[in-house]
Amino acid sequence: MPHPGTLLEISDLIVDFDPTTLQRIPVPQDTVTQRLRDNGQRRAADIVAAMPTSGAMLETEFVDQLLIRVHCEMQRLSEEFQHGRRVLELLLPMLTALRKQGVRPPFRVVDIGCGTGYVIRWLAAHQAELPEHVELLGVDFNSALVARATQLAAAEDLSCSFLADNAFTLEQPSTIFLSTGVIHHFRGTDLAAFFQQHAQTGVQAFAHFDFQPTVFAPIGAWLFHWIRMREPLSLHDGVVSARRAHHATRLLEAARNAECFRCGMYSRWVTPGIPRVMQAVVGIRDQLVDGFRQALGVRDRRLEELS
Amino acid sequence: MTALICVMYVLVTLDAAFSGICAASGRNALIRKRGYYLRSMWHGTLWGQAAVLLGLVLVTVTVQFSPNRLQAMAETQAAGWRMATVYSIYAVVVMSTFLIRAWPSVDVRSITSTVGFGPLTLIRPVVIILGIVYAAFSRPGTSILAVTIALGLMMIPFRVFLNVVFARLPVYGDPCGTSQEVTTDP
Repeated sequence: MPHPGTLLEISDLIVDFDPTTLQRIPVPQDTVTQRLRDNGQRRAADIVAAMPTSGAMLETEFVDQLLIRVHCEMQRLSEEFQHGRRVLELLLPMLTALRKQGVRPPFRVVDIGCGTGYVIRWLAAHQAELPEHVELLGVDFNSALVARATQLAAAEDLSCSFLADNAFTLEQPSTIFLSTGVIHHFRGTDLAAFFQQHAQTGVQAFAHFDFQPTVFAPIGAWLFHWIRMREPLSLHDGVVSARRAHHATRLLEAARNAECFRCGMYSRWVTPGIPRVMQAVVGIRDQLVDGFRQALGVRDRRLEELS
Repeated sequence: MTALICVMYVLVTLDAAFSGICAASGRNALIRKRGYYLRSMWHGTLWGQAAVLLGLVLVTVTVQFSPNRLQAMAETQAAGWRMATVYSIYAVVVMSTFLIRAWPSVDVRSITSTVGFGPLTLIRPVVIILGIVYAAFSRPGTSILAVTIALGLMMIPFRVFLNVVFARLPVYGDPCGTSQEVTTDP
């Protein structure tokens, strides 16, 4: 079995984009299956081998619909683990600190790699709990997911928007970056580069949530995904995600590449010895730290040292 | 006997309703889903009534055609109450977990999923089998034992069955629940 850090997720391999234009690049099925087999992931290779092709390339329409279904299933876990509320509990103190510091609205909250936009749509559905002048935007490379997110938001008349774009090169400035289950996709030097880009955008704060790698995580992830997921890809990638999740030290080391931010881990432990399923790496501009910690109130205990 | 039928009816209907929620979960990506889940409970309950009817027919036919109906009735009650005991304990644990989940805390609600609903879902087939085994210790006759096993085993794949049914219903089959038949909550 490959080392967790070298495991591959199917969803990373079956889609490809031109990094500049974000145009879809066809993906050869054989290349993906061979790569998975060479990496010792036979089950994953079999899942991809069963996908329909157009010539030698994976069918784009099938892949898009599959990823939409997978995101729909993953939303179930977010709902069970109250992820929307968890994000809001961290977002509100950030927004309070911004107002106190006199940062001018609107406050653009941007979810990086939003998928079908669960977090942004949840926040929009609870708009009454947000202060005024908060704009909610979800961004993802995958235009099919973005289109579905937009459709879902419209179905419930939610005040939020979605873009198929690069979150770090948006025309309008972002105030706060969020992400869920994204950062473990960045490996090696890409992780540091991801955080480096934060300082270049003028964003004031960020919170990136992901699985917390604990001794329980692999078996817990397997159990939960086996019980809850229907799609084989959901089960496979869900378990691999938990195994690939970065440790706090790795995350902080990378996060400190975000210049002018003070970074720390948030919400790792229910009590000492009992880990939470998700952890967050938080970063905030120097001048906002005191206001942020004050606004956290009793939850300040969950925030480890910001440095 | 009436009391046993009532208890088992409530247990089976509850299980069917919650199975409906399970079968519907992960199929709808809307945020406000109260109406969706109520509908799924209703659909699950309806299919549960089919299971109840089938069970009643099986038991009635078995007792009616037993050489000694009175003895068959007594054995059925003894086995049935044992099954009901096991399933009632499971039901109480499930309902208690729902009560705990009502606490307005992200951590408490998350914990009810990790150590409550997740494991409870996993052990449901085991609980059904435990009920059958416990019932078997009342030493019913062969035909009553066979019916007991059949009723229990019928419930094990019920959720799989509902999953298959729901996947074919338009209101659940739309990958992200944007079918016009879905009524969003206000």
